[in-house]
Amino acid sequence: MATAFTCTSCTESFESPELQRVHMRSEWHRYNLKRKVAGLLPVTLEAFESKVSSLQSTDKKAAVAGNTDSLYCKVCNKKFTSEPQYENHVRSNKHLKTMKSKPILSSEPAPQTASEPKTVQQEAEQETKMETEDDIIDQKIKQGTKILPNQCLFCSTSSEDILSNIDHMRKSHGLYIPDPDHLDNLEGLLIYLGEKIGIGNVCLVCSFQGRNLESIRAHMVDKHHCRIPFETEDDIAEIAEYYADYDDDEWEDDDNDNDDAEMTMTTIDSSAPILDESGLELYLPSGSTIYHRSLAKYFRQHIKSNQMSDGQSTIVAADTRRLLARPRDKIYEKARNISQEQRLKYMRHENRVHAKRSNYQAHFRDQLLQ
Amino acid sequence: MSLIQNAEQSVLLDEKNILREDVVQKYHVAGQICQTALKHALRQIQLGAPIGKICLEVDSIVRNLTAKVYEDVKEKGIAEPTTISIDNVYMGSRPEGSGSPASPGSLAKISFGAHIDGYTAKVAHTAVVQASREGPVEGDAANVVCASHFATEAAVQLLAQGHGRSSVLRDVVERAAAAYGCSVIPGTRIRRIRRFLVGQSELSDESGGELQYKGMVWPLAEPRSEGDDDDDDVVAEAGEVWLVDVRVAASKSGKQRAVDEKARVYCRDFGVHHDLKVKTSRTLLGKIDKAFSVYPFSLDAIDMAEKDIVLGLSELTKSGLVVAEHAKEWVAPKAVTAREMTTIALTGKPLRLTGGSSVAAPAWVHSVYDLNSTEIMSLIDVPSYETIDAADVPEEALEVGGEEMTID
Repeated sequence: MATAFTCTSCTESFESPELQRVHMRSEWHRYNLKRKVAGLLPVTLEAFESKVSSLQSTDKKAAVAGNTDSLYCKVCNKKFTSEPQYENHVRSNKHLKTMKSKPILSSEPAPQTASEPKTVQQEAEQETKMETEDDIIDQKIKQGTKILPNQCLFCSTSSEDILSNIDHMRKSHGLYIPDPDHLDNLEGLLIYLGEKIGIGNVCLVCSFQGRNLESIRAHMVDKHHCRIPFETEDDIAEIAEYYADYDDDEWEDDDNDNDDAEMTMTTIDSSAPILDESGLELYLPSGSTIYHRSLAKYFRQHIKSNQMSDGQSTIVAADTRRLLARPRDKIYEKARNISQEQRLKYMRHENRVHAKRSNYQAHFRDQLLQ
Repeated sequence: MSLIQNAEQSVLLDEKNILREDVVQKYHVAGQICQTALKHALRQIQLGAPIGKICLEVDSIVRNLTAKVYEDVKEKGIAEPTTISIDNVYMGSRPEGSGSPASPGSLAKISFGAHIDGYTAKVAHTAVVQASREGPVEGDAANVVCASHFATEAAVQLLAQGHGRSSVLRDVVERAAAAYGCSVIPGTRIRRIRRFLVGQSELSDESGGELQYKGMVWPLAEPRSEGDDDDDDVVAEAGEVWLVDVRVAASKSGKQRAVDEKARVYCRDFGVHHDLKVKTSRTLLGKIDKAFSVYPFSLDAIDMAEKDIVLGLSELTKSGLVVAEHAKEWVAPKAVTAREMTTIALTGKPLRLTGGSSVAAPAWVHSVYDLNSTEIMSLIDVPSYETIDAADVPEEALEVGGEEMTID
């Protein structure tokens, strides 16, 4: 359905580039552009036409009442200085011709002369509004890209299965699935998130709506919004259906139920010892971790504990000499001097070597001639 | 230099000092242990036992009794090693080994302390050695005993009644001493004590040595001009624990002096950092830190050979890591001194942890002077505090652990 020639602001697609260009020049398109700037949803052509016609009917009434500023033919984009002139124009053949031709073109708004009664128009408007919202959703669904559960939400990577996809998103984008112990329907959650991003083009964290999939992905990656919010009640309620037994009163006493869920999540962990990717850590079923021998130098340190007893720290805390002590104690002064001396010595050495090196040139070069 | 964070500091200095029920209980237990040991010591002094033996016995009682209670608490035990000072020596004297018995009729000032988890009870009392049953002691000894007794009782009463204003306390102590023709020895102090902060070292009682120091001390120098007094008028408030430590000399004037003999009591100074050269002194310092923490200790209690202790101590004292606490004597023509020290917790119903007539009754003396102050008399008439009674000393508590080591 979707062709290459589309208008995003009016959510319209065209057969040919000519038709698209004609559309771009139309009043309807301009109107939708303004709506987009104002952050409103686009209106369909029918809705726009009914709006224009209702406006015109009021205009006409005003004109009848003798309003001079309505001496303007919207159909022909012409302005008139006097009333006879305007009436003359309306009756003219040219005007009637354009009036007829415009609705046939269908891409250009055609302000028909208001002949229908006003109340009927308003009802129709409301109906069209309802229809248009559904249409937009349908269109969105048609236009949007569907992200499968084994595809990454934040980039175009697709993995073999859901778990490896989760692993990818955790490592590459830092996505953390909240409360995995209670999670019941991981696939459902991923499909839901995929729809939200792929079809709705809405950020998971903030209310930002992207123009398309690429823009929303860029937004989330750049803003570090690659996470599932789980703080407020609304956040939790949004994805609660994918979690098992998530009623508020069962927070504490649903341990038995959780065990099942936990089992499914941790079966991989508890079945056999797992070797870390780096090959340095081995997770045992008992829960303890064994580290590689090469890490012994880090773990086998005997760091001198500087733990003082309560009494000693009390005495030190209450000792006012501590507060009076000069910041630069003798020992610090000495250490500072040593480091300064060493630095100076090193610099002197550097200078010497540098000076020597500058002499090691294959040919004589006169400094002045360079 | 390890830094104590502010949060940690407020926990250590403020929060842990709130007199909750368990804290009061720890003070109570420490106080009762002191009372028990004091009762035993006073009986031994009455019998004329060797001074050094009494010191070791009291230490072992305190050590054994504190070891039995609060088994989950690591820091507990002796808050001040027992010292018994005779006549003109008013504090800090501790003979090496068992020592010899003091001559009958002389004034023995026994002083020691116990602590549970840093909550400390300290006590000092003046007793007459082998007091005769025929008649009271008379003369200068009688004067100082009376003066120190009434001064202490009055100060404790003022604190218990909530009138513990430093100017009032100072006035009452001075008046009690003056009524018996005595003088207050510099270093006499009435101060608030906190967990682990009980004025172990001299520095903490000098102005500015201890953070949030509260209390007053009779300064070594000449009393300041009267205008200054209003500035540092501190008031004892409910929820605090106060220490009353009154030292009185029989003469109007005199000078204090460190006794010219080797100190047997030392105290660790945690404000000093020094890298030790000799291995023995490093070992000694480790043992001291572990065994005694922040409280003064006697050399008898260190589990090391005497010659190693001497070797290590010389470097420790030179570097200032450990400070010797010398015995102090009063130099004057009539050089008889008395000392009373007691601890009182100002809870809802004030609790006197140590001392009191039930255990440490004043010695039987007769002074030619009279207190002549109905104010003080009426003040101490009805005690407005509870006292703790002594318990019986269990036989095994008397077994002196380090005796074999020290006697040879």
